[in-house]
Amino acid sequence: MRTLVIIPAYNEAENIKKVVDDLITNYPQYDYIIVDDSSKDETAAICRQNNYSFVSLPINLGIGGGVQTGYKYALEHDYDIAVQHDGDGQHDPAYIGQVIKPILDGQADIVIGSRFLEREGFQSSAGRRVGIKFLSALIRLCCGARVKDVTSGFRAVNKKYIRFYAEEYPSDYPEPEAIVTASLNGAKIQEVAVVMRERENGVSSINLKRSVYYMVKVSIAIVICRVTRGRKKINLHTMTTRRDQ
Amino acid sequence: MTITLRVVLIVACGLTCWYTLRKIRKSQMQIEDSLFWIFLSFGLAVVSLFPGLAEYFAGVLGIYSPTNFVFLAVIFLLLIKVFTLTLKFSQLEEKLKRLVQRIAIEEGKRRKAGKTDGWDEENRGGNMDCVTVPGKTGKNNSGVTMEEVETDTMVKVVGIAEAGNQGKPDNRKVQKCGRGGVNSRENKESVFEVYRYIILLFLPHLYVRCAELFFSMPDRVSVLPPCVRRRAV
Repeated sequence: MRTLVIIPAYNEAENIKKVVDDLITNYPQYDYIIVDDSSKDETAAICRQNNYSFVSLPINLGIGGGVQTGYKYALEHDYDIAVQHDGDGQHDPAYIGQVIKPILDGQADIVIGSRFLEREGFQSSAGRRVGIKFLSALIRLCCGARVKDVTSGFRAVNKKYIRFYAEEYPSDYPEPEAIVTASLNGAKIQEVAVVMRERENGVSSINLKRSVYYMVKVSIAIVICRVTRGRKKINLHTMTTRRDQ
Repeated sequence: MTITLRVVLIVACGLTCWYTLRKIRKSQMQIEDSLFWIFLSFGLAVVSLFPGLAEYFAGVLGIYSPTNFVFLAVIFLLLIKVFTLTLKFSQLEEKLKRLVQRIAIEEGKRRKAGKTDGWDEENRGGNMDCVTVPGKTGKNNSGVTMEEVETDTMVKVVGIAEAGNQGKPDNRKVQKCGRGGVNSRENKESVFEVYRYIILLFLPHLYVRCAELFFSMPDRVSVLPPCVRRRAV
């Protein structure tokens, strides 16, 4: 099973070398692609110097566009599994094996690495946790997917949904919406526990004003997704899909 | 505020919401861009359900009628929307320019290096999202020549008009890239079909009103054009 690790990076000059060297030396069984989202700093130069496998976008598209580029790359090169892995050092490649296991076993289409299943490691600030709980409840209401850590960018996707995401992926704060769109198209979503580290260097791109916009926009978007699509349920016993509104 | 106006506002809210959701469903609009229209239509509904709000603000601002306040508010919001659209448009133009320049430079580099695999500079069609298929030309109901192609599934990239009626098979190559999306013909026509129905609905009423107005005038003969006037007198 060929696996591609998608590493979106925007202005991650300080972290990218550590992350990618770790991946190359300790986990050579995974292919990787760095998606440089038109970074203003030396991210692209560092990638070029060290001869990393990377793609440089000419215009800044945001995290959604960057990750979707990774999925398009995975589709074009016919990978079986794609794993999203952040370039800022918060994710630990040791957990990639655990995250792809349910896909290899055929139990799930999309697997999300969750910080909150075992509550170890970096848990994020209290305010964000409240927001994440609310989104988790909303997503469960709208599409039935039980996910505790909806904003986690550490996820693995199987071949069918690589094709789906390559064609359609939300652009602004995409993680919760991506769960909803895939689930409404019949994806089986599972969570596994992972431990994440706190960001070492650099600045996160979220602040208070953006957090409010984020919550409002994502909530409305999830509701709109549900309203405009209806639900495709997969009957586990007979493995047929039927659509109900 | 009259009850008629309030009903009209609620109907307008419903229509705007329905239409916006339809566009989202067809992937012709992104959810981020639709937020303004959803909020605007809910604002209209709120004002019509709670006219006290409009009365309060009209009093504070010194506007005579609450209805006038509604007009002012909607105009103000539209001005903001037009301004943000202008901003977005400028940014898009800039991005497009950069992208175009980047592509041109890359094509030049490839040409110099002597390889053009997968990227056909002259036809500019070697793209993973588009496939060339033979199409049939024919005329649809309005007599407009269209290409008939089979639609593909979920792709929402630039598309060529689809659908059309039977026509003679044609060996001309057509690029099919999917349904809906930015360039699809149905996108351009559907805006006007709404206006068509609204106008049709009101036409008899307008006719009656004009006749009423004309016959209520004491000096109606002078309003007529000279050729008709001569015959009337």
